[in-house]
Amino acid sequence: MPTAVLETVADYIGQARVLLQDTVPDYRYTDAELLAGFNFGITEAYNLRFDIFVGLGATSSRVPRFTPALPYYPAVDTTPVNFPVQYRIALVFYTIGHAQLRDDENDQDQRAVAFKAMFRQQLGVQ
Amino acid sequence: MASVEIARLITNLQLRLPGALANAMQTEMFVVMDKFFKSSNIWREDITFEVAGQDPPNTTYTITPAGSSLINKLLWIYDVTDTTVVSPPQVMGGMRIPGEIVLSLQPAENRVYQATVVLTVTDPTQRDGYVEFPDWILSKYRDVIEDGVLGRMMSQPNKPYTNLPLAQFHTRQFTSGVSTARVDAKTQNVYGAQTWRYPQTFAVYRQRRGGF
Repeated sequence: MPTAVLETVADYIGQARVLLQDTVPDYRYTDAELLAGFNFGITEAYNLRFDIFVGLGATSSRVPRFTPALPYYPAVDTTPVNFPVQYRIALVFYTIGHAQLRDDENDQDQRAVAFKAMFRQQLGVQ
Repeated sequence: MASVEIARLITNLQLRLPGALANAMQTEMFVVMDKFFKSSNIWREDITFEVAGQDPPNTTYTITPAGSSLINKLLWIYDVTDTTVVSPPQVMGGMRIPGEIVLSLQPAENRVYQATVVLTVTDPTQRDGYVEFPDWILSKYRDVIEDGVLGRMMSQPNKPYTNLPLAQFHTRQFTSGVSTARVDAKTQNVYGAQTWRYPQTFAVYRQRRGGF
């Protein structure tokens, strides 16, 4: 039973599909495309908010926690995503924004930019 | 360290740092505590070590503190071989490398010396990731530690809790609190006490004997 929202990779991709209105197969955006955006979001979060990842790479709680590892998720499955609860929705926004960047309609471009901005805003980056 | 005390501190910090993460606060807290102890000299420990009479001059005596801590300064050394002496004589020595004592004058016979050293924090931290130091220091200087962590956290660039004016304010409060702690250490927490006493080793006369 889930104890919090957006716990696994599948949760993030599933929520992104809801906002993309792409929940019925055959999907407009493939799992691989959305997963790539999700991992790019992790990388971007690592760049903007390094403190989120402090402690994630520690093998023991008594080892100094200044060796953060950049997580990578290779498949859309039930692998838990180790990310602070209050910032998880930001990854959904980035995944959506990245997916919509590939479209060349003007309104999609605007939505892509808006979702990327929401990603930064949600992370609290000025 | 009592988890209740730490939980209260972290809760207070999170109220003032929207979006701050525990790991980031733990990291800054380590730096704050290190600065606090090095500047205030409040954390002290007495460590006894034996000196053999036949040791050559400039012999190095290695001392290690009891818990997870690092020796920062040497305050003084006393000769505590004779436990019946009320005012043990002071011994001169130095510590070029923290933890390694070299005596100015090597004794002719076996002696037991007690070195009082100032400590600071070190790795590894506790199992929950928080830096380790005596409980009473957090209880007594909670507000000072809180100001220190707030100052450092708020000075981080591009964070939801970044606030440079408040960072300066809290850092000033922290510096003031460290000064208070330094005085407390000198007066050994006695209210209104003078920080200096006439060296008792020079006290030849006693009042009880009418000055003779």
